[in-house]
Amino acid sequence: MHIVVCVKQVPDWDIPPSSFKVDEGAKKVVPPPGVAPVTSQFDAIAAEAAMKIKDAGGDTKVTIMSMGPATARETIKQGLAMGGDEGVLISDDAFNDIDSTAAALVLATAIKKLGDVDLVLTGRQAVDWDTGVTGTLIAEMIGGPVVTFAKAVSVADGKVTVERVLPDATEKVEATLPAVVTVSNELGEPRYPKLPQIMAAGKKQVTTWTAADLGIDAAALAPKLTLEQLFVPVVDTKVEIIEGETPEEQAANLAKRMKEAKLI
Amino acid sequence: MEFQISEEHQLLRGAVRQMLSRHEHQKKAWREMTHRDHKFNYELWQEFADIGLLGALVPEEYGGNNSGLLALTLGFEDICTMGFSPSLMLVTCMDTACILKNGTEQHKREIIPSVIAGKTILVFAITEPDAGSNSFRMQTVARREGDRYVMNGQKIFITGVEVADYMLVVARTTTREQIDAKGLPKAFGLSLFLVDPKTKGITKTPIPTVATEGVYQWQLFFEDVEIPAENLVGVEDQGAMAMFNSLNPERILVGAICCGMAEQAINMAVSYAKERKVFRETPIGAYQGVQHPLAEAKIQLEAAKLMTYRAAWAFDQGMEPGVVGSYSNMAKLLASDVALKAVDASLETHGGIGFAEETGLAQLWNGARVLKTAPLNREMILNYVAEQELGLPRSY
Ligand SMILES: Cc1cc2nc3c(=O)[nH]c(=O)nc-3n(C[C@H](O)[C@H](O)[C@H](O)COP(=O)(O)OP(=O)(O)OC[C@H]3O[C@@H](n4cnc5c(N)ncnc54)[C@H](O)[C@@H]3O)c2cc1C
Repeated sequence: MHIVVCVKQVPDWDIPPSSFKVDEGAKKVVPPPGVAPVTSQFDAIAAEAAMKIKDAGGDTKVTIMSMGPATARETIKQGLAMGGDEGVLISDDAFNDIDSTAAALVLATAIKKLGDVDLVLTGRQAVDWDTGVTGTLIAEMIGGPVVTFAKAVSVADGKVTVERVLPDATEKVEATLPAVVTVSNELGEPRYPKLPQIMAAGKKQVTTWTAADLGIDAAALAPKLTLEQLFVPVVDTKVEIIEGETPEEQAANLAKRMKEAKLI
Repeated sequence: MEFQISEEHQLLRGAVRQMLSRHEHQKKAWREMTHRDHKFNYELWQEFADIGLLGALVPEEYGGNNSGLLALTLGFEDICTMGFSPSLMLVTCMDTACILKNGTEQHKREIIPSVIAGKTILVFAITEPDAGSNSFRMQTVARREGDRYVMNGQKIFITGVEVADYMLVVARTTTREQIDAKGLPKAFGLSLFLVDPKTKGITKTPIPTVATEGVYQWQLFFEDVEIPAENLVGVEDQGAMAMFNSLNPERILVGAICCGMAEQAINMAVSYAKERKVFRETPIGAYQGVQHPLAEAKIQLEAAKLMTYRAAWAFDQGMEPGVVGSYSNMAKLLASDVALKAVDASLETHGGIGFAEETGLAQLWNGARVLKTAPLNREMILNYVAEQELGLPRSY
C-alpha cells in the first residue's frame, strides 16, 4: 500500500487580522514579517489520516509530497516526523504563482512518476486561497475516483472506505483504488511529532524534482483562471444595545429590530 | 558561521507549541493550581515526557532520543514564551545529565528510563543554611558503614521534595577538618547520593516562598539516614567536579527560561499597547516612551538567546566544561537581566492591570526576579567571569 499525502506550505493563518496585508497592485498577499510559514491546516489532517491507516497495520508506505519553494521542505519534514516514510519536494521557478489546475497537473505528474501509488490524500482545501479543487483535479488527471470531505478513511481489499461530511449527515462511500480522498477537519486534530520521531525524520530522504525532472513545459502551466482583484474587505462592526425592562421585552425588541434590519 | 536553527529543532519548536496550544484553555486553571494551591501539575509533566523532552539528553541505549541540550533549551524557551512552566524539568534534566555522566550502569538502567517515561521525578539538594554561594562550607556528612552510608546534617531551600522520587544530595565524605589536617584541596571530599526523600530519618519542613510554581521549598534534617552504598553517584570524595559539570546545563536552561519569560512579557506588552487608548484615539504603543523600553528589551533578548544557544551548542559538542561554564554563566546572567527588564517594561506598559493576578505579570516578575539570585546569583557570576575570563585576582 503506497499513500501519497499532498501538503502545502502556506502563510501562518493564526495571526491577528491586523497583520494580514495584501499588495493590491501586484495582487499578492504580503507574508507577515518574522512569521514562519506553516503547513496548511487540512493538509496536516490529511497526513493524520495517512498515519491512522499506517497505524492500522499492513505494509503501508507514506510519501509526503509538496510543491512550493525550497522552504516547503519544512512542511515535508513535518509530515515525515508525523510518521511519513519518504518526501518529494517539487520546486521550480516555473511553478511560482500557478493556478489550481496547473498545480494539480504538477502533482498528478509527480504521482504518476512515483508509479505505484494506491491512494492520494489531500486537504479539503488549502487555507491560503481556499479554492478546494486541487484534489478533485488530481483524481481526474490520474484517472481515479475522488471522494471529498472525509472524516474517516480506511483501506481494505483494494478499496478505500470513506465517511464523508455532509451538511447534516454522514455518508459512507467505497471507492476502488487508486483513488483520491480530500480530508476535512472532522477527522480530528493531527498528531504532533515527538522528539524520537523528529530525530528519525532528520535521516529520512527528501527527493527534489524540477519541471524538467517531471517533463512539464511552461505552456502546460498557463493559467485557466484570471485573478481580477485582490483586496481585504472592510468589515464595519457596530454595537447596538437592545433595551427592555424584562428578558421577554428585550427579546421582543431584539426580534423587532432584527426584522427592521431584514436579518430575519 | 551558521545562524540557522536546524530542521529538527524547528520541528521540535512546532511540536512543543502545538502540544501546549492544546492546553491553552487550561492555562488559567493551571496557574491558579500551581501558584495559589502549590499543587504539582502532573498532567503537564506527562506531556513533557510524552513529547520526549525528558529524554532529550539521554542516549538511545538508555531509552532517550539524544536530541541534545540545544533542543531542550529551545523547548524550555517556548514553554515559557507560551506562559507555561517547565517546573521541575530543570532539576530533573540536570540530575539526569549528572547521572549519565557519573552514575553506574545500574543507575542508568533503573532510574533513567523511568525519568524519561515521566514516572520518576528528581530534585537537587546542595544548599545549606551556611553554604549557599559557597558550597564548600557544607557540613552534611555521609559516613561509610559497611554496605551503606549514614547521613547527618541539613539542607535548605530544596525545591519539590514533596513530589520527588529521588533527591541528588551533595554531602561530605571527608570533613573539612580532615581536609585541613591533610592539606587536601578544598574541592575534595564531596560526594553525590541518590536519596529517597521518604527514607527514615529525614525530617521535612516546608518554607513558604513566593515564585515557585506548583512546588514547595523545603528544609531537610538528616538524622542517621541510611543510604545503600550503590546509591553513590560517581567516585567518593570526587563529587565536586561531577556536580559542577552538571550545573552548566542548569544555567543554560535557566537562560532559556528567562528568554521565554522575556519574550512572553514583551508579546503581552505589544498586544496591550496596540489596543489601549488613553489620550484620544492614539494607542499607547504609538508613544516612544512606551516603545523604547520594549524595543531595548527585544534587542537584549536577541543577544541573550544567541548566548544561551551557543552555550547549549557548546555543551552538545562536548566542549571543555570550563568553556561551557563561561558560556553558560554569561548567558544566564544576561538572560535573567533581560527577563527582569522585559517584565518591568511590560508592567509599565500595562499600568494598573499589570498587577491584577489575571494577567500573570506580577507572578512573572517574581519568577524572573528569583532567577537573578538562584540557582546562582549575579554577583557570583561576575566574580567567575572576572577571575576566569579576565584573569583578575579572586576577591573573596
Ligand atoms: C526559589 C528558590 C529555589 C531554590 N531551589 C534550590 C534547590 O532545589 N536546591 C538547592 O540546593 N538550593 C536551592 N535554592 C538555594 C539557592 O541555590 C541559594 O539560595 C543560592 O545558591 C544562594 O545561596 P544563599 O541563599 O545562601 O545566599 P548567600 O550565599 O548567603 O549569599 C547572599 C548574597 O550575598 C552576595 N554574595 C555572596 N558571596 C558573594 C561574593 N563572593 N561576592 C559578591 N557577592 C556575594 C550575593 O548577592 C548573594 O545573593 C533555591 C533558592 C530559591 C530562592
